[in-house]
Amino acid sequence: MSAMLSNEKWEAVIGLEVHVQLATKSKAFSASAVQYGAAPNSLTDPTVLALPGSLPVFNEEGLRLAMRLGLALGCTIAKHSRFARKHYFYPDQPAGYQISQYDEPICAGGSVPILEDGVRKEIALTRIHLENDAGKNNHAGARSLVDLNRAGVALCEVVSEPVLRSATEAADYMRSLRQIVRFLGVSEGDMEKGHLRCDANVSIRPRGREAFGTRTELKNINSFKFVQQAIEHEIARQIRALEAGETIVQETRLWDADAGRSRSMRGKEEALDYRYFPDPDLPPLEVSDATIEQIRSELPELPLDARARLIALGLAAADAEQLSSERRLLAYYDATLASLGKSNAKLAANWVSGALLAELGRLGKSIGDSPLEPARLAGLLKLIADDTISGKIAKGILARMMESPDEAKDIVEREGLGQITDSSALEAIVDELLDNNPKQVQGYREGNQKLLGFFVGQVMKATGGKANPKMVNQLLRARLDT
Amino acid sequence: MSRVTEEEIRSLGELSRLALSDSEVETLKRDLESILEHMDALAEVDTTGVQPMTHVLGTIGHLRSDEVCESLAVEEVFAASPERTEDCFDVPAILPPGSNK
Amino acid sequence: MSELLSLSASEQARRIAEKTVSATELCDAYLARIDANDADLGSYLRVDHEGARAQAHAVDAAVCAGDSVGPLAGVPIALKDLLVTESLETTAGSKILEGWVPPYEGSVVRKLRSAGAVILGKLNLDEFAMGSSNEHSAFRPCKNPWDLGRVPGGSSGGSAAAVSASLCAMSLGTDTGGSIRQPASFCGLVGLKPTYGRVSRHGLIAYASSFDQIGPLATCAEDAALMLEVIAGGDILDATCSTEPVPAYQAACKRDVKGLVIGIAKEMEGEDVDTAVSAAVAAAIAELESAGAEVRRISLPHTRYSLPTYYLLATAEASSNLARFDGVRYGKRKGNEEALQNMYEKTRGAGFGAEVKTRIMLGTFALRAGYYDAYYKKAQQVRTLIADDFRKAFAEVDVIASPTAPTTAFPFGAKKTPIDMYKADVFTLSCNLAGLPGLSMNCGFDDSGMPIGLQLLAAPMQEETLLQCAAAYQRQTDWHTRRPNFGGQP
Repeated sequence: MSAMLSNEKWEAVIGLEVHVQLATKSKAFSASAVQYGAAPNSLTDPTVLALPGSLPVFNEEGLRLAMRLGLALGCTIAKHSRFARKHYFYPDQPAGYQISQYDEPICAGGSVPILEDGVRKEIALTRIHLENDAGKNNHAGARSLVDLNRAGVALCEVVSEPVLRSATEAADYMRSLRQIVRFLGVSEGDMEKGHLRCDANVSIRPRGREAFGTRTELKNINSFKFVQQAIEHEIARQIRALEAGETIVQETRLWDADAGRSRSMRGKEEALDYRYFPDPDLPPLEVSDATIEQIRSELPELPLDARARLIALGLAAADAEQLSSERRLLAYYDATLASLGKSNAKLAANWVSGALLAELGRLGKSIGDSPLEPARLAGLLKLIADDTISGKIAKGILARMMESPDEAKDIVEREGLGQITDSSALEAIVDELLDNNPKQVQGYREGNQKLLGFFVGQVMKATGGKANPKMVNQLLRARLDT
Repeated sequence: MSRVTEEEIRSLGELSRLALSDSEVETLKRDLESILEHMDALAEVDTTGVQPMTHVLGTIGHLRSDEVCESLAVEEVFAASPERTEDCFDVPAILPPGSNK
Repeated sequence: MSELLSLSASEQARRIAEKTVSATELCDAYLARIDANDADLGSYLRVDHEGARAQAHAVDAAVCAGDSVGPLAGVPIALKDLLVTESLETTAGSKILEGWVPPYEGSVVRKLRSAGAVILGKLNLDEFAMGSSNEHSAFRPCKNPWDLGRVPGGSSGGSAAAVSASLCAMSLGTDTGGSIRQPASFCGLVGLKPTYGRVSRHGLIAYASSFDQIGPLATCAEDAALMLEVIAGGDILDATCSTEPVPAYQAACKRDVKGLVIGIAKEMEGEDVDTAVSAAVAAAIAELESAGAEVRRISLPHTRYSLPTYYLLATAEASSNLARFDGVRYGKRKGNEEALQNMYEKTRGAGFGAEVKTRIMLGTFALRAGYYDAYYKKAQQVRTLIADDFRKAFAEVDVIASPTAPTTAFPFGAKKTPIDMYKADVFTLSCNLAGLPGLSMNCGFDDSGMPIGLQLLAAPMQEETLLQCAAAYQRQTDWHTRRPNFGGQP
């Protein structure tokens, strides 16, 4: 593809605007419920419908969540911010204006971390501001049908600096942001439900040049895949145009996922003039230092910080990444480790991300409602660590612990599942085995080393899996190799 | 001073979504011009360093707590609506993006 | 006409509570007078016979049962049709909203109902409160009961005319640039515009959100105080509404004015003021002086810019507030079969009257990209300077006195251009720009027998001072007891 070759000559400059739906129960400025998939126009109130005489009053939880996100991303929180009205007529915009923070947003600066070849890189933010969502238009031939359930839902818009340099980086940024908002509980971050919606500003310039090229705005890219595809497509389109001697027109382009291409929206909104002015219904938001510090003190560890900590404990990068991918999973792991001790970090990692998640998956449960608590899992893992039971036995016990409140220790004791570490007992079994299988003994001694596995298997079978494998190996070698 | 052109009046009308007859355009042009002349007086006020007043009396506003109240019943939502289809507000098609009217 | 209708609202409330008058009897007397006379006056857009009688019955039942009743129990009042009333059509005086029956109750109306008030109906106004004469009502003009050839003032013209003509005991109006005080002046009443944020705006159909306030029109200061006590106070549904405790306004009416300092601003006099108005206002101030007040000359240098400042800011807000009238969710739609843009333009073009269109256009002009700093922001800065003038002045004086309007009520059709009409508000605008409380009361009559209004302004949240002055003045004079010769004097 020529665009690929040309990439050595051209550099892309990308900035993202991501709308994040805040996890509030009620709307940004009124009390009707926020809920996905409800019957059309069943979640409204006078303010959402912009009935005459209704007024907006801002939801304090929306403010708290935006500040929480801002503080987690290292933004400066404005102690004084305010809402403006952004005017445009559209049937999904009941008041004829959107309420949005314009010249005084709640958060400035900050950054979203991403991983580039395993190394952390900070993507600088311009700002984060609060606003309300519009309703939904369903197009039906010559008519449009408007559902206002979503109108008035609280959003924050996270605006990056134009510092992203590739479609992959942009998609990584979006993934990281999603993970962070979910970690913080700022948003449910469900892409399917449109909780994160992205617009991208894309331009290209010859490598080495500082001045930006003319940019286009891509709208409607609402999945990681589309972010990647749409931006890749747009970079290629711009390179083709410039190499063909054309100029880039500053315009808004709509990504058509089905067609796999973007279309110009030019001509549609040529007379856009939003006529912003401070919303007189909404006094400025005043935030005290004490409130900021309170929210800061409640911040959890963020995914990439947790990942680094886990790697320092000796975990493989992939395990560290998985365990830090979700807040409750990480919390579970950390709680397990707290009971078990850090020296068994890897053991705990294997079991939490392996057997436990598999078992939960089988039961259709998530980590947050695991019937097996971290402390009991740690009890089980301790028995593995001190060789009381084998991993195989442990798996069976784990499955049973999902369905009973018993401690692993008690199950093992009650049912005699502890490993046979008494060498005299094992010796007797080994001796009997060798006596009964002279052919295999002969074969081994003639050089068929693989037969060792056969003997180990037979011992394990005879002991119901309770024999300590290491000890069995030692005993067998001692007998066979002499 | 004639500073509001007929074209401007028509463009303001479009921006405000107001259908205006020719005679309305004429009247509005005349009235806006004469009103704007009175507005010119403001130019003589020295406002260097003066904070714009966006909220009267520095109003300290309150926020609402994140509590859900019952929604309006769908019948109330549509009681006054000019056109309703499948519990949605029915309007002339919003032009699909990219198409010119 | 029943003698009951000449009683003050406070007195009516007392008699109902003491069971010497029944709420039903009083309500029926008002309804009968409205039915007999309002066709000539045009003060009501809607009379709610059934609803009013039901409320009156409920009050009588409660009184008979010995239940405690609210401070307005059984008092028949009426509301400017800019206030949202659940299940009772609300039009804002506009064709675009004709037939709209709100599914919710405005906060102030809710307070009135729980105070026991009997709501007789909805009152005429200039469309969306944009006007100073009531000539901009989309339905019919409302006339001045003192002279049916003259305007009642505006925009709360119906609210003033109805009280003045004894078609309700009290009313509520709204005041954005003088819309309570100027009609109160034209109709010889007490009209009180509270401090911005003193009364909830929830359920008040917005004209200019940073100016609008709801307030009472009444025949005497005590009635206005009674009403304000009911409607003032915090509201979680209005973020700009103050939670400061509501003082005992009725008690303030009992105080004298000894030692009170009255300021007279040179910017609020002048050659544009009718001589009869100037003379009556001067006499009223002298009256207050004789009651123990002290008079001081002051200056409010920036108030001369009130008119351009107000009209830029208020129309900008209006252009935004009226964007919701788009024919999608409520209201009359036109051009349904055409393109969306046409539907919008036709709906709004047909639904709004000429004055509303003019103000939307002006407001859109002021907010346009490239014009914002020169117009909107500049006006916001001047607004700051005007508010500063008042702050300085109120460090020295308790109230500022002036004419409410430069003239008495003018004949229909007298104001030919928007600017001529706007000038009728020249003394009332600065109060809204600074968010202050302001009161107008009758202080005499001109040669044609038309009432003259004295305006008093006070520092923010000092409604008590205004009521104290007005009540003291009304104890010494009897202007406020005079009634127009309309429909047979009560």
